Amino acid sequence: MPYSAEISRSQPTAFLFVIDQSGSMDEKMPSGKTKADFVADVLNKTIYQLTIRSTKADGVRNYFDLGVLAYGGNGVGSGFGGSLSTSVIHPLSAVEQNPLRIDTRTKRVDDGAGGLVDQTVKFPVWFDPKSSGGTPMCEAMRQTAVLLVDWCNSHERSYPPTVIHVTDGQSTDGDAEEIAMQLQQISTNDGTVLLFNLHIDASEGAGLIFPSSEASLPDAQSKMLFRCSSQFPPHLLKVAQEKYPVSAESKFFGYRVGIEGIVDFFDIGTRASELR
Amino acid sequence: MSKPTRKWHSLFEGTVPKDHAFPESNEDKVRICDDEHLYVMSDGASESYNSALWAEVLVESACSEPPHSQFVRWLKRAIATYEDRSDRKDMSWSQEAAFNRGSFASLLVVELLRDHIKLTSIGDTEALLIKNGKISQAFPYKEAHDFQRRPNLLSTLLSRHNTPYFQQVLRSLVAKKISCSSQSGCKAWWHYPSSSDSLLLCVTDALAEWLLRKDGSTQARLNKVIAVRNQEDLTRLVEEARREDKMRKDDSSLIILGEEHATSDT
Repeated sequence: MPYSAEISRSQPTAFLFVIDQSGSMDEKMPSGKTKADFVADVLNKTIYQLTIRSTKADGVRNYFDLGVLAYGGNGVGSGFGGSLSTSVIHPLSAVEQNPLRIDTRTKRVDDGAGGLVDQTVKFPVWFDPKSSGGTPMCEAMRQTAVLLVDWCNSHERSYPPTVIHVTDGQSTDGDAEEIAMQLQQISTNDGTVLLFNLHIDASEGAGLIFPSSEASLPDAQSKMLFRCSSQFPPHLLKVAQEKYPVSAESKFFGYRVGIEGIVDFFDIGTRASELR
Repeated sequence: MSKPTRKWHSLFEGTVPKDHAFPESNEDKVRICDDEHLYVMSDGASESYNSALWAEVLVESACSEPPHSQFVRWLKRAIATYEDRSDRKDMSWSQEAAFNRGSFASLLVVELLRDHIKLTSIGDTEALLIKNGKISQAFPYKEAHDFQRRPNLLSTLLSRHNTPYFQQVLRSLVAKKISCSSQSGCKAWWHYPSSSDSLLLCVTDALAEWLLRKDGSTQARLNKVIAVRNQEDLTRLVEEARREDKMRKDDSSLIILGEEHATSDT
């Protein structure tokens, strides 16, 4: 059965975040943050959660390889900064050891006796928001495919890689559909690469998350992103059904998704089946 | 503790790690104490910071004093022991964050008392009473599909016990009779079976789910388990079931209790 391979240190999976950093990502969302700020924040939190879920007393377990590929006015390349910028995909332990910086935040937590106490937490930052230039989506998809062919060749027995692609606009270097479809033909023995597309928008409401048909999508771009999004693997379908009315026909796609939808999209998309 | 009139003891105790490449990562812990009148098993959850240490602290604590009427005091002491043994000053940012998320583990305590067997369970570690070669009682879960639910586990974070389930646990542990629902567990009392070849099995969840599955091979699986008398037998059995994709790949532990003369004849 596909998408059932165990995820372990000897058989990791990969998450690759493909992030649009084009000029339009500087548009402000209702919260006052730009789209680029918000995506950077959610991405940093997602990497943080993946890391601490894999951290044990004896260190970080490499259940995942993590990558960030950014595209925009500066072309296409690693979205990581600092020492991670030399390549796109890294083992989780390398990501853990090399954030750009570690910020300190305060959060209120239950004290176990009916009250709340302030707790200082360290919050690492790997990815800073950027926004400039055009949207070279075709080149980003092409480079994603090259990376994942290599990764799948060296991880034949692994749960296949998951690509979470975040964009707010239309490709400026051609039609990305064909290459995005080809991307989903790349496979390990456990299944083909999963491509989850998230279209974000600064306006509130009227968005669609996890639709099962393109009928209610308004334009060619959104219909294209729908068509080249993967359906849910069984374990993620179960997770999504806790909050959304999704079915086996639903695509892992979000259109004009607001703040809550973006957070859910990243959260559900990176839920691994049980880690070993 | 008033001791039983008939002497039961451990016929076998063993464990198979989820990953043979990392046997040190086995998060199941077992203790036999009080002159073999007290058996304790704890299964640390895979996705927590140091569930092996937490499971170890829980079995140690239950051996010193089973968690009964003073459950909250007992739990606080166990959490303090866990924290004392965790070296917080040398933690990386991710270890600190993972530590703050807590560690989680189940607990099964089997006490062999004079007139009955007392069982205390939190989570999904299972006790099975075997009479005439068949499962006659199962606790806390009755069916294989019960293991699909997310179990309530003991946590190193005291605040995680502010739930209806743990309120029920508290009431159950203080009460003189069983007050928990049969599905969620907490406490049960079993009579000693009359037949001298009866057995009591303590098993962690993957092995228990496999044993409780109802199909044409249910009895054959039980026969294999009750015949286990050494580590090689258990390893072979677990590995075979994993290869056939019949058993979840998880740390799998087994204690077999029986009367001294009880031997494997299957």
